[in-house]
Amino acid sequence: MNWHSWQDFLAMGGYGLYVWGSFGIVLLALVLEWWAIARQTRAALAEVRLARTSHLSHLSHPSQETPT
Amino acid sequence: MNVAHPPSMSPPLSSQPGVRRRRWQQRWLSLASPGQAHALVGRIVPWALAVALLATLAGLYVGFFVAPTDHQQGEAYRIIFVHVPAAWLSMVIYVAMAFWAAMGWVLNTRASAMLARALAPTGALFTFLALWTGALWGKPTWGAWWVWDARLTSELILLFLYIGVMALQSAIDDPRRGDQAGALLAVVGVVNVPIIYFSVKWWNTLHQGASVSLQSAPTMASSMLTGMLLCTVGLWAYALAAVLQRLRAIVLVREQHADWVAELAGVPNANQGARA
Repeated sequence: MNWHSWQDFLAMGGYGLYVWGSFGIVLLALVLEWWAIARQTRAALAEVRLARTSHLSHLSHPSQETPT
Repeated sequence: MNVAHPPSMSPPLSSQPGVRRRRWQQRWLSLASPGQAHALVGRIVPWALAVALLATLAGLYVGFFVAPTDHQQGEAYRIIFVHVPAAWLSMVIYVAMAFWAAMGWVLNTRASAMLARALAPTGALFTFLALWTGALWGKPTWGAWWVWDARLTSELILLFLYIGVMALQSAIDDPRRGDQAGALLAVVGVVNVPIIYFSVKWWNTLHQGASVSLQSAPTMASSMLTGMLLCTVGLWAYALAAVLQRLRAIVLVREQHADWVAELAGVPNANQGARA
């Protein structure tokens, strides 16, 4: 075990700012990225609904996409 | 319309070798179709996230509680557990992005170009993280947040390349043209990746040499290496999940005229009104 106490662990031998600054930014970045992706997904679904419902008259024509 | 074929001239259509081959191609290529990709990818994401969480927690445990203090750098070296995986990812994602962008350009496969778009933001993020954690490591060990040394400069250029590719992709309204413009810069920029990797060998840099390489045994304690590899697996799995989840959103927008997207979005679909 490297650490004698909780304070010891947080201090990181005097390098706490650098070590926790590194791990903190990574955690923050990954959480923010995941949030941004969730927003992008919601926006994508909203865009699809908007495009589909505002062009209801065109829906009677078969779409140009090939079926999968 | 009314051209009559002599009945005995050709065998049934389905048994002709050309037709059979085309059918196999269709079946094989359907895996590369956006609809199939969207469904398949949706099943991979939760597993990738689970691996990411488990491997990262294990890596952090080993990194902070098992790996010993470094005799030269003290506790500051522990930044390695996140700095090196981020730096590796920044390069690997770039190569993957350039590869799929090139595939989308040459083979004209839509899913490849969308994958290239999905890779870029995550790659840029990890490049930024490699630079940021590097600065926080440089300050206590070198006495400077930043130096214009070959390794750092080429990694900064990598960040600019990512930003340039994303800007080109989104600056052009026609998505296919945007894909091609992004692909051009992505492919040209690939030369920067070996420059980053070998910069510590080719030039006399302040940045330390590779701690892990294929040619020689790692120059670090085995517990340090274990922690770093676990964190690497964790962050790579996270990146996979993030890229695939973003890919799904991109596919939805780009394929919004396809029936399966309407079904997914819960929009009434005239093409299958009888079934709905």
